Amino acid sequence: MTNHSDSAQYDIVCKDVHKRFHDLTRRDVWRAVLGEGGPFPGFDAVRGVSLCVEPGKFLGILGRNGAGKSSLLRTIGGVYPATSGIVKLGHEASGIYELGVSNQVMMTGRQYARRWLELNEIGSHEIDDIIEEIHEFSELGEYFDRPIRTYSSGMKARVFFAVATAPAAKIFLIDEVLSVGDIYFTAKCWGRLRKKVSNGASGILATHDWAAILKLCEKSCIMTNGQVEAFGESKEIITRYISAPQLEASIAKFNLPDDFKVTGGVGNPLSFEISLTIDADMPIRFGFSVEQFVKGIGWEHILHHEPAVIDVRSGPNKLSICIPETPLHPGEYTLNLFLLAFDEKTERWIGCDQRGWVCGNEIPLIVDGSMSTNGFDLPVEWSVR
Amino acid sequence: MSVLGFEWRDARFALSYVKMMFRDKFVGSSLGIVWAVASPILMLGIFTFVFGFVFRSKLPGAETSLSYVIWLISGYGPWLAISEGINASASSVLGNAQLIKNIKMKPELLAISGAAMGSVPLAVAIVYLIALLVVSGSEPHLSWLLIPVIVMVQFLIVAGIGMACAAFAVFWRDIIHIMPNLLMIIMFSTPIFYPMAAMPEIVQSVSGFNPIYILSEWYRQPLLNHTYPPIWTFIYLLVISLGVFVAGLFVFRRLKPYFESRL
Repeated sequence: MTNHSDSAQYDIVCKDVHKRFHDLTRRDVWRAVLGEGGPFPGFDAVRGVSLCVEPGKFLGILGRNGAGKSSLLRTIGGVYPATSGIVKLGHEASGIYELGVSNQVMMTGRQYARRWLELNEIGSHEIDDIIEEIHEFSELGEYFDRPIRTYSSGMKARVFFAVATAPAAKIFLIDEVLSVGDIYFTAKCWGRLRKKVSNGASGILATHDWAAILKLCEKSCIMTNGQVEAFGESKEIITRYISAPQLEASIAKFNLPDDFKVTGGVGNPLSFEISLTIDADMPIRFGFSVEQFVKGIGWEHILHHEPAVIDVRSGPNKLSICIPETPLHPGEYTLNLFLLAFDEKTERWIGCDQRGWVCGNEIPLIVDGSMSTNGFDLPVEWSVR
Repeated sequence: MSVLGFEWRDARFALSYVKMMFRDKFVGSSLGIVWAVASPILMLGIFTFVFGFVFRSKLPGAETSLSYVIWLISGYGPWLAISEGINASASSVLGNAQLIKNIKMKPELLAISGAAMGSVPLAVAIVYLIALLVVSGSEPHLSWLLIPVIVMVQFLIVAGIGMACAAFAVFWRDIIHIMPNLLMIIMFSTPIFYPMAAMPEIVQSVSGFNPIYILSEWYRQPLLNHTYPPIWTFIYLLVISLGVFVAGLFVFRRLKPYFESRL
């Protein structure tokens, strides 16, 4: 990001790229034909963006609708000429800017694939093999030879994605698309992209879905009003993007593997152990919550344990947590852990580390077993006076 | 090496756009591409039947009405290609907006490919004509070899007009609806359906410089009389066709940077 001097080591280089969209009135059209350069009415979608992407890396671009992500991506891909600035690509780029490049719904999936490949100048001797590969990847079966108008939107997404990522391009410019389609296929797409990346492909993923960025991009930036507002490690950028609390991992942090998982049985004790590293002599609080993702609703808060001060020493610590009787129905939940430290100077609790869906690294909690009754006996104490 | 900003590989792209446009035009219809040939044949067949057998129209001095039909089609066939080419070209940019917004390409190639859409009716008309000529007892003649050259000249004119229309149509969509009507007016003000002699004298002297008329003469004279129109008319046509092509390309390229927000 900072070093533009040697562009040879980058696959994608943008220097001070501007993209202005003009909206010409009828009189302006004549002035344009006569060579009067303007100024014409319009708006700047991209205002001075500079960025670099190394081979084998994906850059994430986060931004709300209208932030200029798509315009920037198309400008980088050469679909729109840049108004000013320099765009350099180390290889041919394959771009997925929107779902489908044709409004021809009468075409079959196979015809669409062939057209896309032909328009992108894939040699005819390779086309047949690539189309077979697309057919296989999309898992459409016989639907591949039926008109696109008979497809569900998920099926369309399958074809479009399979087609756009089929050629052995070295640079991929991807806009949003992966938010369409079922979870199974989306996962398959991620797998395919990650494989391309580990084989040295690079690219840019523009989206407002920060969870998607986490899956592919080490670094990312936030785009606002056509400008890059922030650039850095994806996690930090996402935290900033969703305005989550800034974490001070240097004070205290969890030492848990990425695939850490907790399982328990209904009504049985649920216990797990967490290792922590504490690097400062400060009061530390630990808290956790159990949430469940409900389709169409989002994250439902189910159990919550207020952060409580824990007695830890500097260095590595082990923390055991036990819930005597798991008061949960069988199912999948997420476990979110919080670690806070008390800053005596400001007299405030500051967040140190967090595992949770807010940060995209939630811990799966699987509860199995069966419900013998319709509910639980809550440990309630009561008295009559 | 590039000519007028086009490279060699652009020809390949243009060819694949032509294929794409044909597929788009007939996609989903069960007879598909057959219509591209069947429609002009049907039209030419009706012309032959109506003027050759119903009205029995004759050219002055001719004995059969077949010569009138041949004369008519040798003018109307190229015109069909011109109007089809210009109309397809004019709507090529708007009609393929999805493509322009998603693939790195030269949109002027779309307009040029649209101009080539007239090639099928033209080819059908020429084959039909040659069949009629053979039936009427005419021998093939060396002068017929000129036809491909004239086709190229015609293509340049159509592509030039088409590019300008396609570019303007982005900002003023009415062009797409104006063009077919304008072309019909031009057709009837050009001696294609009727002989030059049927026009008032003042109009005749102007029509002598009408490129469309000269173009039709360059089809008619070799095909019908095995003769050539005056050589100056060919140079005149060549200059006009190159001029129109370059002017159309110029207008297109001037407006191209402003397309995006309109597509």
